[in-house]
Amino acid sequence: MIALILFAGFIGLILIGIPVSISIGAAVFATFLTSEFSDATYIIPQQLLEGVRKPSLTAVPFFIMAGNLMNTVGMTDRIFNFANSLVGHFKAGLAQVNVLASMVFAGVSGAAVADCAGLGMIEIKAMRERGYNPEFAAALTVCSAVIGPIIPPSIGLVIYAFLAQQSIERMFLAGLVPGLLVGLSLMVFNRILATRQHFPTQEKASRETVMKTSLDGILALGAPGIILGAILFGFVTATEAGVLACLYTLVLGVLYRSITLRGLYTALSDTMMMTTIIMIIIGFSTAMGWLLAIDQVPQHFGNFLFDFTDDKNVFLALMLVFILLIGCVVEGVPAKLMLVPMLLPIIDQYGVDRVHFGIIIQLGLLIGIATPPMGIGLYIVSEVGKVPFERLAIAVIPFLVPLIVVLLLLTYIPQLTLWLPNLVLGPE
Amino acid sequence: MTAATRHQTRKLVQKADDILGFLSDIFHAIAIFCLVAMLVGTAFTIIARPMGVSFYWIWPWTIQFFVWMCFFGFYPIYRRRADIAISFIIERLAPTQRHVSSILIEGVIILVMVLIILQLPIIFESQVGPVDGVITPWGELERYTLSIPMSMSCCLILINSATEILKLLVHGPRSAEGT
Repeated sequence: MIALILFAGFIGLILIGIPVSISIGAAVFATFLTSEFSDATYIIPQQLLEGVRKPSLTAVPFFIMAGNLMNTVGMTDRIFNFANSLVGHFKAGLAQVNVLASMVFAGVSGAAVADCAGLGMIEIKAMRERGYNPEFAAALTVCSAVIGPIIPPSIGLVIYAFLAQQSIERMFLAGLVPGLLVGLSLMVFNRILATRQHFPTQEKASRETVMKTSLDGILALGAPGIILGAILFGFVTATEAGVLACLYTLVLGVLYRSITLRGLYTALSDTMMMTTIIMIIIGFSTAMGWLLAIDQVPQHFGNFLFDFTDDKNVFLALMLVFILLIGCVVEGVPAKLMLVPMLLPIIDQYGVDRVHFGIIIQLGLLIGIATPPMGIGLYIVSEVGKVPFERLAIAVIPFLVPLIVVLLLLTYIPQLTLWLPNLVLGPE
Repeated sequence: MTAATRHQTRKLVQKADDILGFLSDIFHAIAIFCLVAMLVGTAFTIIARPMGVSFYWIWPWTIQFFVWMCFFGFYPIYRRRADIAISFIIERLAPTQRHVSSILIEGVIILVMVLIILQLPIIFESQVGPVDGVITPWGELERYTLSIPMSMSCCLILINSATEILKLLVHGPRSAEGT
C-alpha cells in the first residue's frame, strides 16, 4: 500500500506539472500521513538534510562545472572542429562529427544537459547550415548526448556508486567501453542511413587543418586523461579530480584568452542551480528510500519476481523493460534514487554484478532523455535547435534502435562492462 | 473588488514580488559563494599536498559549504522555475484550466513547505553539538547551522508561492500564459 501511494502519487503529481522534487516531497508526506508513521513526519526534513549531506556527492558540482566551463571557454567549438577535420569527409560526415564530438566532450562533462545545451547548439547549427534536415540533426544530438553520462566522469555513476556502495573509480572504468560502444553504434547507424538517404558531403580537411584542430582537440582530450589517471593512481579523490578538471579547463580558457568574468559567472550559476536541483531531489528521495525500506518493498518486490522466474536472463529482460518504462516518465536521478535501493537486494539474489547492473540502469534510464514525456534532452534540444517538440520526439525514434541494441549487448555480455575495471583494479 | 482596491492590491503584490526577487538574488549569490569556497578549498588541498601542507578543517568546511550551497540555492530554483517539471500537459490546456492548474501547483508547493516548517522545531532540537572540524575563531560551528539555510529557503518558497497565487488571482487567467 505504501509503495502504491508513493509511486502513484509521485507520477500523478509530476504529470500535472508539479516540479519533480516537490512531487517526491508531497508523495512522501502523503504516504507518511496515511500510514502508521503519521506522527513521524519530522523524518522527512531530517532525511532531506541527511540526503544532501553526503561527502561522496561533493564531486557532483565539479563534474557539472567542468562541462559548463568547457562550453564557456569555447572548448566545444574546438572539439567540434577537431571532430570535423577527422571524420567530416565521411559519408553522413557531420552526423559522424556530431557523435565523435559528443564522445570527446563526454570525457570532461558528467551531464547530458551540458552536451545538449552547449555542444548541441553548435552541432545543430552546423548541420542545418550544411543542408541537413533540422529534425534529423536535433534527434541525433539528443541521442549522442546519451554518451556523456556513460563515459567518465559521470554524475549518474557517482550517484550510483554512492547508492550501491561501489567505488567511483570502478564505476568510471566500467563506463568507458559501454560509452565508446554507444558512440560506435550511432556512427554505424549513421553510415547505414547514408546508404539509403542522401546526406550533404564535404571535402577532406587539409593536413594543416587536421594538425591545427588536433592540437586543440588533444588539449580537450587531456581532461579525461587527468581525471581518470589521477583517480586511478590514487593521487586524488573523485571530488578532487572534478576540481582538477575545472582548473584544467580554466587554464585552457586563459591560454586561449576565451574566458570572461561574465562567462565564468554564468558557468558558476548554472553549476550551482543544476547541483541544487539534483541534491534536493536526492534529499527528498532519501526520505522516500527510508519509507520503502521500512515497508520492506524491495523484499516484497523480490519475492514477487522470484515467484515469477528464477532465470537470471528472464529477470534481466524484465528489468530492461521496467527501467526503460520508468525512464520514460521519471528523470534519471530521481529514478535511480527510487529504484537502486529497491533493486539492489534483488539483483544480489539473482547474482547480477552491482557494477554491471549500474551500467545497465545508467544507460536504460539515459535513453529516457530521448523519449517523451520526461525526455529532458528533447526539451533542451527542441529549444536550442528551434525544432518543435512533437516533431523531434518522432524524429528521435529510429536512433533509439542502436541505443537499445547496445543496451541488450551490455546486459547479456557482462564482460563488456566488467573487463576493464577487473583488468585495472582486479576482480572484486 | 473595486478598481481602486484592485490597483492597490496589485501594487502591494508587485512590491512583495520585488522584495522576493531581491532576496532570491541574495540567496543565489550566497550559494555561488559557497560553490567557489568549495572549489578554492579543494584546489588548495590538491596544490598544497605535494608541499606537505594540509589543513584538517578544509574537508569538513567543504561539506558544510556543500550543504549550505544546496539549501541557499533551494529558494532561487523555485523563484526562477528552474526545477525539472513536465509542461506538455499543461501547455495543452485552455487558459482558464491553466490558470487553475497554476494555482494548484503553487498550492502543493505551499503544502509541502508548511509541512516541513511545522517539523523544524523538532529538527533544531535534535541538532545539538558541534560539527566536527568546522572550526571558526569562536570554536566549532553548531550542528543546527546546517538547517538554517533550509529553514530560510522553505519559508521564502512558501511566501513566494503565496505571492504567485495572489498574482494569479489579481491578474486573472491571462497571467497563466507566462507560467
